[in-house]
Amino acid sequence: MADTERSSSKAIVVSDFTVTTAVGRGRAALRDALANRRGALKPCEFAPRELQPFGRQHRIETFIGEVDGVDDVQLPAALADYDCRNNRLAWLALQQDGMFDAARQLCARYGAQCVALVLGTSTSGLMQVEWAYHARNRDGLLPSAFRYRETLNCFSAAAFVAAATGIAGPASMISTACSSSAKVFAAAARLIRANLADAALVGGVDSLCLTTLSGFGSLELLSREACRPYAVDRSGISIGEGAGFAILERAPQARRAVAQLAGWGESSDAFHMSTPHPDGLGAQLAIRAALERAGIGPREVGYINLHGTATRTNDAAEAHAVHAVFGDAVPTSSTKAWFGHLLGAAGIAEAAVTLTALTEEFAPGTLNTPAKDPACPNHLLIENEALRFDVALSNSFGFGGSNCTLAFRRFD
Amino acid sequence: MKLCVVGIGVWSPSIGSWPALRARLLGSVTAISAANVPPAGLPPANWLPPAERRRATTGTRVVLSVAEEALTQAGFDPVVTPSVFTSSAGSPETTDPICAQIAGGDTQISPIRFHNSVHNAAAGYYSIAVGCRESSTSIAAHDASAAAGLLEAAAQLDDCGGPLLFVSFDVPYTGSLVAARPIAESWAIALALLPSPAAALATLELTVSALTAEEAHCADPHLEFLRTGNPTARLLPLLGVIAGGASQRVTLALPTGGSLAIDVKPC
Repeated sequence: MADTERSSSKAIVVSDFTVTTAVGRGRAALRDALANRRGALKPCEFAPRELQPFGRQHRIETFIGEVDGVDDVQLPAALADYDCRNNRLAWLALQQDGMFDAARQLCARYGAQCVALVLGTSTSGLMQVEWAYHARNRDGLLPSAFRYRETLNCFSAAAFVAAATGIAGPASMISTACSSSAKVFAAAARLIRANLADAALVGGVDSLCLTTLSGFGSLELLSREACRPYAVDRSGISIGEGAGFAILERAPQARRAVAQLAGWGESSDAFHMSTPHPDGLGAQLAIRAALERAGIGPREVGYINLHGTATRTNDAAEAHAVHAVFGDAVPTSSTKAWFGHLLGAAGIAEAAVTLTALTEEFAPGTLNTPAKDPACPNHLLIENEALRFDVALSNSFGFGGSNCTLAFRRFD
Repeated sequence: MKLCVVGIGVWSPSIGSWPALRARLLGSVTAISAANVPPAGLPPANWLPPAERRRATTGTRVVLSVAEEALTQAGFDPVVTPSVFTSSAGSPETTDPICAQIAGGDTQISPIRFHNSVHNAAAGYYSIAVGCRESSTSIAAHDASAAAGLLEAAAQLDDCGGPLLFVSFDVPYTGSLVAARPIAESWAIALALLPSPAAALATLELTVSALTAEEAHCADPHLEFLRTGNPTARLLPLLGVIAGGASQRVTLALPTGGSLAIDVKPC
């Protein structure tokens, strides 16, 4: 089945991608940071321009992955109503690696109404309403400059990107917490296979805000240092922000291909809202479904980019899930210590890491982790390794027990 | 693309559940009276364990309630039924208290309120309540959330076959956000779906058009008020045609322009 699918018109390829995180803007910045093991987490001194007039310090003892220069990004004048940290970050990412032009060309080639737009976010423009609450008047009224539809609403970034690029096909925002922008690949591939679209711009964006920093703090999941995934004394997550985009097309129509989207698997934990199943049962189901759809067995997988948040429970559960499917045969790593946990943008950012590993022929290790927790039975790479492989997986798991595994295959 | 509606679940505070809405849509009931007074407060959400029911958000309770109604009617086993949830804002009642607390300088927000704030919270509670480990997605598309969700459901049925649970729900914001995004009462609509003709209530043939077309309306003024005031209630004209047993086209606006034509046929 795999071979027929690979050569058939049903095969869907990633023809382009870009990503912007704390390690820098665009693919080259990500590749260099990974290759040189240059992480970008730093102590939290988050003071976005929205909150500066209020002079209030929200000190949260943790490390974050903040993207440089988001405050200074200017949206196109005609789309100024969409101005908020989340859309500035989306716009910044869209400018890298020629992605904005590529999206416009996609509309020209296929017709704007034949291009789908599926993005993922967890918090959308939440920073904007945090600003509006700081600026409330005595009657509790929000300032008139607060624009709900263009900023806070969950669909805001998709509406903004559609307006900016002219994409007019089926559009939706997926918001399943930390699996959001992994699931966009599955949803867009389904739209293409069902002939509801000929191509798709997928991606995700999530930006730092006080609610996520406070919320993860209240759950006692924030690390006081830069996160150390899978370390025996790991102490929680470092939150980051970022955005990324990818283009999906049918293989015969694509003018180039980074890799094939070989498979995807989605599942639910049905266990707890914010704690994974201890044996990673839901994660196993997602991994096995991705393998089945790709038509491959566990031995054909050469590298797995883990969700690896560096919480006690996530890493233990994921390690057991991976071990149940692969034993300790397949090299795995978590790259969250480079740029943090991007929540709704984690899926697209780590898909970008996985595609980088596949095409640059090296597997990144696990930054900041001196040695693997012996209680985690998976094969964890600590150091980077030169590695050529044909298939790589990327895991993304979220609150509400939402799991997604993507399978990318070398496509020559 | 075809899909078959095998079960329907509805909840709204001013109408009640599907049998009450059906009567209203058919014109046999034209106003609230003592005989058809809707249930006060929140729906029962029988599938939620009592401890969860107490702390669940309105969104979670309406979702559990309509899912039970639709799946029971369809005879689907919830444990093996994947799901598509769509909502403009998920559980918006968490936003005002969290933002007010943070603006007051207090970052110790309630952990339960925080995990209830994610867009897929209702989907998460649902999967836990029924023990379903199947695929579940949660999407949003502002006022066109229901249409975008139907399209996602159709694409999933095309890809994986059935059964599938589709749920659209929208509940109001609270506090300072009510004025910024007014939502007319709490609405949830569930459809139990199969890909091919079955002993169904209706088949829906979905066609995407690049042309912007006028959306279907409701003749009943109260229902029309709800349709324009709550994104989930945009599905009321569709339910009206299904209730009436006619063959008719219903048009919904898509999120970024264009329209979704739904050709309804009785089975």
